[in-house]
Amino acid sequence: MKKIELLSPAGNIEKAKWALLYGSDAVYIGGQEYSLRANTNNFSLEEIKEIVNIAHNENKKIYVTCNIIFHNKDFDGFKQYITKLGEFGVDAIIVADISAINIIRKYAPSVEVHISTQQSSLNYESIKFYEKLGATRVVLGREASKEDIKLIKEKTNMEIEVFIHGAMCSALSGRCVLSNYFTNRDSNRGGCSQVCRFAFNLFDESNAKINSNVDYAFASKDLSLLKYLNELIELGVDSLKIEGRMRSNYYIASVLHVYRRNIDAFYNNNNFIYNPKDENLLLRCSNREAVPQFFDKFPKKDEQYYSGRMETTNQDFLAVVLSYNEKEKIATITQRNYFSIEDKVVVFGPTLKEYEFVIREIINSDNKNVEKANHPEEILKIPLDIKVEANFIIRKQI
Amino acid sequence: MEYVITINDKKINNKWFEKCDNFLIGLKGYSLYMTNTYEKEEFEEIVKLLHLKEKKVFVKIDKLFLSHEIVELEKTLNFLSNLKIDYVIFDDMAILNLNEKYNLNLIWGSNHFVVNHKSCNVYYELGVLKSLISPEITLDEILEINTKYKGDLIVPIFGYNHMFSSKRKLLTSYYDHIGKKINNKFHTINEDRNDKMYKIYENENGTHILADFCLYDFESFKKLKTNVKYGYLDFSFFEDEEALKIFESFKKEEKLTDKRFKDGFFNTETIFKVKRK
Repeated sequence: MKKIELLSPAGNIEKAKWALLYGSDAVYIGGQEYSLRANTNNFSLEEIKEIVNIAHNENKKIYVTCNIIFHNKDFDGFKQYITKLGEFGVDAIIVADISAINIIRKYAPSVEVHISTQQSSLNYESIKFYEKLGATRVVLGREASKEDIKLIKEKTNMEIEVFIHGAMCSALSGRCVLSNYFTNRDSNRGGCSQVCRFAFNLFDESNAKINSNVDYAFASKDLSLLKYLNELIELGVDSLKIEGRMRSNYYIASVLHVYRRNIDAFYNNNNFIYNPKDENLLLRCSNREAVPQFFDKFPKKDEQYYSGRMETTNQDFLAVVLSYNEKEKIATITQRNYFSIEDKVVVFGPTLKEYEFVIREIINSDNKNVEKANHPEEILKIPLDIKVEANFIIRKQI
Repeated sequence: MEYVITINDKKINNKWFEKCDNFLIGLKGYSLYMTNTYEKEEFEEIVKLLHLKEKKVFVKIDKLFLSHEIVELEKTLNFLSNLKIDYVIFDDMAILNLNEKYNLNLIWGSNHFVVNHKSCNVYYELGVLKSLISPEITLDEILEINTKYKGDLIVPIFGYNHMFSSKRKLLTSYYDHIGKKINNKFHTINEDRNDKMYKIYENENGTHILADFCLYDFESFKKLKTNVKYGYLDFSFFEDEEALKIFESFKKEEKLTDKRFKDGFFNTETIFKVKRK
């Protein structure tokens, strides 16, 4: 049985390294042009080359998003860019605009073409069409149910990638230009200003305002398919995709840690037992409620938010391990959020599920004991009985 | 320029037959944004009437289909083929893939995607000889596409542009959430910070939102008129008599003034990078 791919986002090279470390089989990234996340740092050509080499050394893959819908002038330089990506050996380019397929086939013929979720491909006939054009994978629209995915796998030979976690549009992907009209930012070229999370007044057909203490917004809650991991694998889905190129290192590491562990458990034990504790971990690091959306039923009132932005913040992420002195059992860490002596915390890492411990001592850079860690990025030392490694994460006990 | 217009009533006013040769009809369950759509039986009657009058009939099938809806889609394509419908505007590639069986004259009209000439030409090479422009680009961009495109362009020149389409029932869900019953599924929304009103409505395909203005720009129209093959006028939300007057002014090239009208993106370019690298 071919093991399902776990695919993670990365908005910059540091995040990509975290994603590879925390168990991603492949990472999708954007260059500084042609990508829908126009307002994150993204990757320079040199950085793309570097991360491809790093990933390939670990037998992992890099996919580059070129998923804007091009206006005429956006094609300037695209052939040269694609040629470079081909030279670097990127594994696939993710496209939404049909014209990009031919350009990639011509200028980087060894690179696979994946059809972006922006096309909202939800049925086997549209997927057969892309197959004929030479694409090797389709990222399904997030409106596809379990039954739709099943039919697609039965009736096509295409690789299928399914979003399993993260934010999702209220609209069909690509079929929303609210940003264009409200903020003059082109959503299909990476300028989405998330108008669906604005709060509106709602008026009925007679122009009477609907009176309620609840605003009218139509923001979707996030997606989580952790509960259906075994079904996704058994359906024959080829790749499980996590959303969020603009998310933090902590988010990427935490989400990957949960999914990697559970996917491995499925293959090792031929079984997957859903643990609500894992769902809670995912919830805590994204700060937005996540539900299965269209996978198990048609979404109704409980699958969306009505009061605009609903993010809550927490300070769960406490520190990152820099090194570990095995002899003295001391971890050197860099602080991210406040913690103090006697706090109950958890350390986890790519090779460690989690280990709970109590902060017994905090030593600052002047080698003095302190009661609390309250300076972001401060380098500290703490006693830790279990062996840890660089880039393990310490968080609050949840 | 030839004109393609929508109809607001299945009993088509005879005056339209004198004025226009191309009619766009909505098919219930398949046409996402059209406010007037017709069940197959009524649709068939309208098409037959228009053909009798030697008019061309366009239908917009811009729904995106789920796998389990493909069987029904095939029946519908067969229905359209038997009706000898003149043109089918499509969004979902399933229609293009299935068309080998049905041999319909297709027009590429993926909502918000028809914004460059290269993609139009890719579809042209695949046998799709016309494209319906997405109105989120400038007049200059449209004219450039027109120059470089091998096929015929249809350009929206009048009507409320659509901005958003979701499969979700976003009005019903809200009413359920606040414990009220929804009676009519045509609503409007606005923000506190301005008085712009946006039409939002639900139908069998989900929830759709339209622009706060009716697209109209006389200067752009004059340039398009001498360059592009078709102008598309969507008269949804206009009474028939008013629509007839408006259409007459287009034909006579007389400028209209109305506070509902705005030039959309004809003269405004969108941005997408707000941070400097």
